[in-house]
Amino acid sequence: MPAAPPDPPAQSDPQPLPRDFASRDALVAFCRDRFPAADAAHPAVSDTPGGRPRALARLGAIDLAQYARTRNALDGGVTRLSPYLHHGVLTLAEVRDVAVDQGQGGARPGKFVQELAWRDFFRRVLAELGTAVEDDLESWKTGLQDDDYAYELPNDLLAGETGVDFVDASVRELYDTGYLHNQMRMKLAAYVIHARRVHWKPAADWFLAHLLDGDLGSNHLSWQWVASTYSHKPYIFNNENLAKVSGGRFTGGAGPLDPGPFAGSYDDVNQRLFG
Amino acid sequence: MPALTWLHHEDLNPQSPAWAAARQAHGLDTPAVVIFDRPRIERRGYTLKRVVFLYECAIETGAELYDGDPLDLLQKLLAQHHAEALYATRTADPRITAQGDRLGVAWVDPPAFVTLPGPADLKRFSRYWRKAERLAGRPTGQA
Repeated sequence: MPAAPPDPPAQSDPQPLPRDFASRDALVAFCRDRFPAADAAHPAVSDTPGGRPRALARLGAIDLAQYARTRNALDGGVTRLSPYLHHGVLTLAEVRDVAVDQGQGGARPGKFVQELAWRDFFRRVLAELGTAVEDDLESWKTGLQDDDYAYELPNDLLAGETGVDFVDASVRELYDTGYLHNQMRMKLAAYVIHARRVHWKPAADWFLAHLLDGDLGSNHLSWQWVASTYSHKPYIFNNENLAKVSGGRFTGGAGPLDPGPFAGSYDDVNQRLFG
Repeated sequence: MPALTWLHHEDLNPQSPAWAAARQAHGLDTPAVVIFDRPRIERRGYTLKRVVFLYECAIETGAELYDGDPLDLLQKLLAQHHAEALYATRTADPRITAQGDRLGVAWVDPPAFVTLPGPADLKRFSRYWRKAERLAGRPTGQA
């Protein structure tokens, strides 16, 4: 006997949302109206378009030889596939298969496959621990305790007006695009946690609200890695390293007279931040 | 036996493993739905760019789109479609997993990135990578 067809729509039935829009602007206007809290949280719209056709186009254009050479540089050949991976628009396995086609496979796979593996790893940790990833997984290795860190994000940070060049530029980019290069995620996190003594948790939540690829696994565990509650030591860097990855765009300073918290050698930075 | 597929926030893919499995088991006309998880969007303070990106991904799945609490809406949609089975792709996300488990979801595994021999040591990436490295570079189907 054939299955019963669905009931004709009744007034109490859930009402589907529209799928056809005349333009992206029309879709954005609909979202603003339907999700006013999101619009109020921050009204920018990213240039990164959603959907599998766009994801496949981006996947088809990746150049992993260039990625291997330049991925650590801010203007390097990163793939920006992470928003699609987060939402399952692309699977890790199919992206890996494309990497293998480009010669990144084998018993010692290339850096790109290793980056995909980080996402697989974080998913495994999240599946194992669940919402526990929202709490410190280990003790701090900074010489400080949980109570030493503020739970409120400073207003100058939220406004992107700290005066520290890479911080303010990164905050603006996060707000406008929903994306940050991994180097800048780590460096901004190190500034927030270690230079401003803000707990990683409210800062991770702040990122999650903006990042198109933000999920509890990759995002919160990366913040814990920088903090040292999911690593052997806190992540730090110095201005020399910042200048190198940014191609000289950032100094790490706050104007000509203030070299900022990451000036000097790594020993200098360690001493300044952790005593 | 009619079925329904739930394309949750981490499965916004017209080639969803769950939808493919549901179609194979219950027929090609098995419907799929996306539900914008409003409680999550509001509690997490998602900004507009995240919502727009979600919406664009959802449109391209070809599924029906809804907005609200997934637990509540899925119960109503299951009744509306006389569906006795609900399919979804397995995810690590704890909220989606809890919602699906409450509804008795038939979880469908996505293609594995790597299948490790035995349990993974998740204390550090380096420990996981020691086991995964020689397998991660093999294409799907040659694990």
